[in-house]
Amino acid sequence: MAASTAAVPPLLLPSRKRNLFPYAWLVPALLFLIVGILIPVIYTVYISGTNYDQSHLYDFHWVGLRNYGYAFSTDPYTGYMQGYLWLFGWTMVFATGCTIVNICAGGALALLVNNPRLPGRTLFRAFLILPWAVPFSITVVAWRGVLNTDFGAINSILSSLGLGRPDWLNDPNLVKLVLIVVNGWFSFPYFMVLILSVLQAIPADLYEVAEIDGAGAWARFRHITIPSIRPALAPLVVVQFAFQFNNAGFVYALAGGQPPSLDITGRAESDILSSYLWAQVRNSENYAQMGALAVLIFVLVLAISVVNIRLTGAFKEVK
Amino acid sequence: MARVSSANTRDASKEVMQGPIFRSERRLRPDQRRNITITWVTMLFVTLLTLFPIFWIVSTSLNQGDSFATGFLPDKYTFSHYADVLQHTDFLIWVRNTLFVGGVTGVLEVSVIILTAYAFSRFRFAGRRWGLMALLALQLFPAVIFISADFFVVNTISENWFPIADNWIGLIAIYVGTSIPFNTWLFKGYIDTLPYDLEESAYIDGASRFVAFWQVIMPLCRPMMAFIFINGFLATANDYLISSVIITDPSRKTFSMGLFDFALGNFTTNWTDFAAAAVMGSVPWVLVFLIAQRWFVSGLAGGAVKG
Amino acid sequence: MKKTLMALAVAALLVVPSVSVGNVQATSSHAATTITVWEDFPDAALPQMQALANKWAAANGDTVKFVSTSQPGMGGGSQSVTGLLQLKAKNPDAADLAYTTEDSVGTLVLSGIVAPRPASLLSASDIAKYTPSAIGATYVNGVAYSVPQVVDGTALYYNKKYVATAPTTWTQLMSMAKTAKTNGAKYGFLFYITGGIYYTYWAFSAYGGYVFGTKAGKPDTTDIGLANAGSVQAVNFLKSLTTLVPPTTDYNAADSNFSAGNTAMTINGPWQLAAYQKALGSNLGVAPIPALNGKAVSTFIGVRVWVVNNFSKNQAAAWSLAKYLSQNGQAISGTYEGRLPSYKTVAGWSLSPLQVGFAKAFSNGTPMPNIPEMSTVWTPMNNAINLVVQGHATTQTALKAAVQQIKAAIAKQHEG
Repeated sequence: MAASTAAVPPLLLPSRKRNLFPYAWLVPALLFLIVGILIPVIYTVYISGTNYDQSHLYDFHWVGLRNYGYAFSTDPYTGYMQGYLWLFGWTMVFATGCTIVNICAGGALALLVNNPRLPGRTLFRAFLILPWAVPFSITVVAWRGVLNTDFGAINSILSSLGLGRPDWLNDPNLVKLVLIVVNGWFSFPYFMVLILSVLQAIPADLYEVAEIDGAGAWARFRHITIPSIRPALAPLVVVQFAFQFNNAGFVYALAGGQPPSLDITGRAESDILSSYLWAQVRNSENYAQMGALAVLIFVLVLAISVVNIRLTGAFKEVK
Repeated sequence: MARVSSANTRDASKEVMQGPIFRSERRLRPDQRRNITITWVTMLFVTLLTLFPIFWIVSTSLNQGDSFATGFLPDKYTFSHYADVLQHTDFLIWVRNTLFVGGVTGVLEVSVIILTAYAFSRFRFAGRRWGLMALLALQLFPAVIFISADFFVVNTISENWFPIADNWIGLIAIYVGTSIPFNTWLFKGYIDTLPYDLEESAYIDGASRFVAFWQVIMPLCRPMMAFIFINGFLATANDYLISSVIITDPSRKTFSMGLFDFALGNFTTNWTDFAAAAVMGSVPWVLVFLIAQRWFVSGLAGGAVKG
Repeated sequence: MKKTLMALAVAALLVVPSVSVGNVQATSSHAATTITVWEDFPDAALPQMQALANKWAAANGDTVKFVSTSQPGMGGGSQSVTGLLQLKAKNPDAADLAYTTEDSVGTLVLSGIVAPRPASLLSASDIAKYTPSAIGATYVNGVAYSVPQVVDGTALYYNKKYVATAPTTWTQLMSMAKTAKTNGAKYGFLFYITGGIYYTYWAFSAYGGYVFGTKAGKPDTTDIGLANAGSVQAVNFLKSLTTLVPPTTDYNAADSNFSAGNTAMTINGPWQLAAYQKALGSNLGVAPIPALNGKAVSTFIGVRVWVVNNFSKNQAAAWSLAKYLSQNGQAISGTYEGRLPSYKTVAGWSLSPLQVGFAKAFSNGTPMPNIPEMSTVWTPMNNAINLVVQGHATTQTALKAAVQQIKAAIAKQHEG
């Protein structure tokens, strides 16, 4: 039976009590949203106007828009603009790179696994899900070990082949490449599973008809497979981009705030905006300035996502 | 244009992988055999690459000494690190804490989200569209950028009213709150695919809205409920960003907090012990995942694909 | 006669209480409280200090609870005492007394977390018992905020199995390290090269680098000598050490290898003395870090002190406990903590032969500035040294950037 979302009868409104009924269902969520999101947002804005930090934990006071001033200034001792711009640039590259790599890798593997004549298909699918199944906190540190310059497995292999020992996690450029590639390792199972289920929902007759009409493999792919996946992909792209843009957990766990940069913001070359923010709060107790940064990131993500949604046409119908 | 029909989406829970099998080609032609071989070799290569770090961590956990295995396999085997972790670290404490916090978070998430998703799916009320757009917008902002405020609020309350720092209440509230947008969206999509006729017949029989929900819809939502519970639990076990700001007492650390301090500490990088802890911590997860795979796929496909 | 007797009696009543057994000042009667102490004593020292504190507690009718911030088996990453104070000093369950480093007292003073030492706590004769640098370290901008316990620093440890006598210059050390390797040592010389300026200050001092200049006898925070020609030479020297020391050597690698007898020489502090003695026995030697650039080097020395939480409700009792532990715990600290006592001499106790080596090393040491601005120096310098040693930046650029970072952090501290 087809889903009949249009057949939901409108609410009967005989009395005022009926009117409030649906809202009652939303109350628990609302409470948690207030505590978990609304209050932090309000206090973030509040803190950003104070000087609450390591030296002023117990006697902080209001300073107005000073922290925002620093965020946009290029003064050699109090200007963070240059550092923030570098962070922003790398964050965009990282998010874009990850989105492309993850979806393509997941899609490619889904297509390969979708082949009904592949021997050991179920086994492959079970193994390839492991990066997702094993808790992230474990595998990310495993990767740190594997990539260790002096003792890691990868460099052991490379050095025995005479290729030297690249400083994967401490070289400013290599660490960026490593972040995107390893992120692919972590993320592809999710997309593989998703795209696979979409592929399997494509009715087989479509392909048969197309083949009878003389369409080759590539044409079948272009005109049947891709259009079937696209509606599901568009929202995925937006959500994945936003997720990777803010993926501080992964970046900091793998790169650990290395290598340090030379500017006064205290960022690392591997840091994205949100991992820099986290490290500054946790290690340097720089709460007020990071509150201002959080507000700026918030506005930024909003702007980028609006552009993203318009471009990909995702979420066209919000029913 | 091919459309994903809901019937097939829900059937993804059956472990039958469908695909185009063309009537005209039951026997393999030579070039098809070659294609399959290439595909198979590629898959093998990809799988080995994927499993490499996991294999390496198991191998390290068995290596004697406290640094990595220098080759692929350990030079000398020992199980002592497993015993070491259980006896000399707070591993069991972390597991206990994670079970508690994760369990409570998961249960709360499921309860709150199923009510909200049902309301958005089945009811029409003022502000519904705005609510949905808000849920969509909120998905884009993770909790990490608000940790300054989290720290401030938690500390202010701790100093003046009651010690909520190092207390799990604040942590659980933040976890549940930040998981609501994404999961509600997912769950609403799933409920949207359930036919309305079942509830309709319940109303005709005189059931109230809530009873219809409880007795008719909820049993059908079990795969999704399991998915959200496991996801919430996993997010708790994996999170160190937020918990390390709110919790500093070592006896209250959760799994990944403890693991990270252990492995990324300033002075010690005790890789072999860490590897043993990692292996012990992941075995239950992998089992859960492999068993609950079908629910995951149907949950994700049902919710996300429908959008 | 009666008047004289009365006078004598009154005098006796006044004198007797202040001559007490073991210097325990019985405070006026009060409800029994628990004094919480945050500390990071090495495992061997904790039970001894607890026993000592219990003596004080028995005389006062209180209890003393030690809370250790270093967790055995947790492998680092644990909260430092200073960090804990900064986060939680105001909490109801915060400590009353804390054992921390004197160079961090400056930041704590800035945030109003530590209480000034009462003028009546230490008499002139009490103060005279401490070495001048130890008691001097308790003053921040002229006000005393702590009671000293032990003195800390770094020196050269060597394994007599590979190195007969300690080298006196670095050229000697490098050649001895090479010979040691041919004699079977896995590493000729290994130390915590990524440990930042604390573990490498000796190089800066030899070439003329310095942290803060002095103006009118006080540190001048506008005069930072960490990017001058001397500092550049020092960091270049450190980079040249990477022929012997892998550039990513961390504390654990250096420490465990020396304990296991794999290394001929290392640089570490007296807190590891007990562990190394246990591991190497009579093969262990301690000497000052060799001379560099024709000059004797000067390492950073620090003083471990007791501070009292400004938000505590038991400050008087806490100060009393601090004084008791300091005055009566010198021998305990010397023996079990490994660090050197802050007393000039300790009755009935003397430095072990190896500790004499440390005393020699520290006699030329530079006390770490305990002004608040000092806390801004560590991270930028550690980063700069690591970047140069690991080959990701040139010395000039890295040090210049570090000094700029330090100045920026100081500006932020000052603006309020």
